[in-house]
Amino acid sequence: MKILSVIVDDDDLVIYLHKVVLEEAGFNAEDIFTAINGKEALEVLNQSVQDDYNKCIIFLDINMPVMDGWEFLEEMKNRIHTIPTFIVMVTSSVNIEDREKAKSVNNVIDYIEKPLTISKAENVLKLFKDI
Amino acid sequence: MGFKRFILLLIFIFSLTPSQGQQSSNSIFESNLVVKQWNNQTGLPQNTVFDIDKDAIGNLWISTEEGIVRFDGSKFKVYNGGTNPDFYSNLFNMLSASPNGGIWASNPMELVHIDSLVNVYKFKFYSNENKITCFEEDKDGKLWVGTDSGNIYHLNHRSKSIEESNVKLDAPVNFIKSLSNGLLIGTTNGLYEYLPARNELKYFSELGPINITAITVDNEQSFWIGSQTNGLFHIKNDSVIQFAERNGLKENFIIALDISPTGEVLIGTSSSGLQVFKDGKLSDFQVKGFDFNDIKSIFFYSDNLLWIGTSGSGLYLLRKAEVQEIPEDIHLTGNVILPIFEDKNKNIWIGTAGNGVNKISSNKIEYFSKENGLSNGVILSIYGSDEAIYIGTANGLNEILLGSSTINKVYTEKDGLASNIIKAVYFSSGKTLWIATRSGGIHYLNGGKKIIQLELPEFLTNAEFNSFFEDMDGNIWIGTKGSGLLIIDENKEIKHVSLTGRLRNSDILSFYEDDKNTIWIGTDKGLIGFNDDAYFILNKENGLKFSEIYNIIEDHNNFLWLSGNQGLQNFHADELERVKFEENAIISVRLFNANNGMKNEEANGGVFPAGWRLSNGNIWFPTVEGIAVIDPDVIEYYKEASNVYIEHIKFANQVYTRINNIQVPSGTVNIEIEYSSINFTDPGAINYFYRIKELDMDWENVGNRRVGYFTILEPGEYTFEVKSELFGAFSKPKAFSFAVVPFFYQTLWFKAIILFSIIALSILALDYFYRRKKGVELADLVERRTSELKRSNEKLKVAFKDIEEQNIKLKEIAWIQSHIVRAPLARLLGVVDLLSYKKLEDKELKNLFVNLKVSGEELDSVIRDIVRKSEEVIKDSEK
Repeated sequence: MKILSVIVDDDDLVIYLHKVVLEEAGFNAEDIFTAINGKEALEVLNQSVQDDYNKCIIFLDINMPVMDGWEFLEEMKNRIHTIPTFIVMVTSSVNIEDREKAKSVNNVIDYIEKPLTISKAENVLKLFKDI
Repeated sequence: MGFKRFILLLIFIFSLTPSQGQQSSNSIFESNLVVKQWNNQTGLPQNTVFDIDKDAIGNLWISTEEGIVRFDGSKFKVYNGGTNPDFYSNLFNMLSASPNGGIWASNPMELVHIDSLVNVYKFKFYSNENKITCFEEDKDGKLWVGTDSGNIYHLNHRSKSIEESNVKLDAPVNFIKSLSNGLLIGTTNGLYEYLPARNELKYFSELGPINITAITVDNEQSFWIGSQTNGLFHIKNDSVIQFAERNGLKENFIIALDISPTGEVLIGTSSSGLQVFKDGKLSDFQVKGFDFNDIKSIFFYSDNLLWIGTSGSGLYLLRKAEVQEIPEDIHLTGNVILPIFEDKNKNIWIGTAGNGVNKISSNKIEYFSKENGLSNGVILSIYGSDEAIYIGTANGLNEILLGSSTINKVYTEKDGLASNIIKAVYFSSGKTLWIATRSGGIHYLNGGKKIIQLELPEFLTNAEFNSFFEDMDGNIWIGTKGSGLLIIDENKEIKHVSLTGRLRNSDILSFYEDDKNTIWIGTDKGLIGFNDDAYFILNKENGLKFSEIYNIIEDHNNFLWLSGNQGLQNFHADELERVKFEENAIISVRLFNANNGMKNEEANGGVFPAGWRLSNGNIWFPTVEGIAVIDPDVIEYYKEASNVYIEHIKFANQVYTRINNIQVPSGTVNIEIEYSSINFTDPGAINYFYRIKELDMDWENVGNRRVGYFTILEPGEYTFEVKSELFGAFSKPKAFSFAVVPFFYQTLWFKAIILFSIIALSILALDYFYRRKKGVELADLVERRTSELKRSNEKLKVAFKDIEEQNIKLKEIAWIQSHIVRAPLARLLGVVDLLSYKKLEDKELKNLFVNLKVSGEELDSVIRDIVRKSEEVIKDSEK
């Protein structure tokens, strides 16, 4: 199974860290795409790269300029996915409200507080493969 | 005299047409076949295939020891105890499509009918001595069931049970076959005919007490009966002919029989493979790639497709190949074929690499070699003028006058040729014979039989010429190896065109002029088209399967055939227009190689002509192992693509195969819709397009994927549409509708209740105010109290405002805590975490330390900010 992963975060260092962690956790380096905000993430999804994959997972930050995580989730609602697409929220917020809000959205399968660690990423991969 | 000659001529024509390579009308038994196998590693539940049939829409059904299987060319769907717990047994020994839809299958204990639903009919008379052995649906839709007790039963459709009939035989029944007026019943003790109208049972005493294993009825209503130990019997108009080992049958144990669409009887034996009865005699049916001898079942799916079920080796498909070979009775000298040319008398001239020339005429083959005067055995070019055939060899040009069988003259350097290596010969519409040789020689032979060499520019003195072509205006085009193009006009003026950039050094091997007068040249870098004002490139990036083009030949269906060393490829000539007008156009190209019957995928090029379209419409391409023959009418471009069906819809782990009235709960994540096509030749080349009509989507090209995924949140009615495309031809779209049902708060009745409640409350409120107006006496008292309350209220309001402001600040602090403080902190933790498990290079390490510092400073400033804000709050509250 080929998994397309997209890291959405406005912080270069975070993108770098997440990429390293995902690779260590077993995600394929070539299949990890990045975006610095929700809008760019939509562009990544709109490109036909999806065709080569069986499933898609998006690691989504909440606080970002241009289009934040909540707006991105809103945009994802009425989209037709060509492959099963799931979202993992990765945020620095420890706010319970944020957590509850994210959980109420379809396709959000996990909510992770930063920093993303290898064991957290491995859990996501396992959870994701079971879906 | 005249009449006799006419007869002779007729015989002549009839007996000789096959030699012209007209394979299209041939039955599967005279064709080059392609073999494909499926077994339990590739989709079958089990490797013994008892029976094969096809249903009304074309799906293949087979029965095995481990269940019934439906196959559409790419997907197997298995019905057994695992998928249908109602089944007592998975051993289905018989299967047959019903004229009334669906298929029937039987195991020893039950009859099963599979349509969009699966129905199981238990055999209540089952015992160890009374097991179902066979069944047959007659022309009235009545289902007869045979048993090993000799009793015959039938299915009562109304009560849905298997009931006793008044037919009983004294031996186990093996086979029942429906006739127009009754049934043929094969038992272990001979053959019977049953006539229900008269309730009469007739015994075929001519056959005797044979153990019957197979029955089939041919187009002439004669019977073919297979037996276990006595071979094959043909019963026609009361005469019986027996075929057994003593008179040509390979084995007396016949296990399966079927009649081909062209009328031959195919015989499957228990352990000696296949035999065919055609033209009044038995012959072996040997197929390269199919050498399995334990036959179980045979099924002719169509003219082109033959299915064979085996005992232990799964299922085989024997398919008429798209690429045929020349008839077996034509023996060529040499395997490596070079130029091919058909003269105006329909003689086909075939040059070989070292073994001379073969001339195939309607009644004979003639050979030209060094023994009978040919100057050399390596043939590089063949072409005919009005009077003669010219054969260009590696040592001289040979002239054979039409109608003659001897070499008339050999032209060499002595006659004025620049070299004795003759690369290409061509006869133009201006009645000029053109000769291209090594060492930069372009010559023509005029009426006086004198060779005249054209003067070429200095830089072409070592050019190597490959091919000739004459355009609509009578210009002669000559392709070279790496030195561009020469164009010679009517006045023999020479124009040189050099290719530049990445096309430089292209090997120009062939030409094609489309109906818009664009000249396309076939090179080792793709097709290059020339207009007056533009040029176009068509290569692998535009969909070609290979870019090295040896020859381009258009067939009478307007498909272009391109040869190369990876086989042949074709596409419709109209696709060239798209290349001209669409940037980055991707055209629909079909590849033909070993999978399509090519004995060897490597075609030959660099000789002239490297392939020829014959007068009968067939195209012959030279290969390193014989000739690849294309009959354009056999290639079924459109027929195969024209279907797509929707298999099921799946959501919330439920699969729905009956796709009407489907209601999907709102918010269902990932609705899956599976669809497929029936195609047994190129299932992997089908592309699918789908859309949800109501969402104004464009058709989405999903390639060969046979499932669509959706998440639809808005309640409403939706239509899923899917269509398939194969080699540029589209199927009609198939559609199916489903409803996404709303959540309770999205439904109309819920909204109505809300509206009703609002109205009711308004009425109550109005009523209340009306009553209050009545109690005026209370008003004064209330007013006094109210003004007191107002004063204290205002004080409270001020206090509240303060608290609210503080609250906002506190919330802000909390938010800062959770987002802004945690952001640099999380980064710090992340970096530290990374340092603990990953060995980093110095540069990366340095970078991370810089980042650590930045994050630390950021954290510091955030904390200062929080302290400042907190102090503000405290100050405010102390006011």
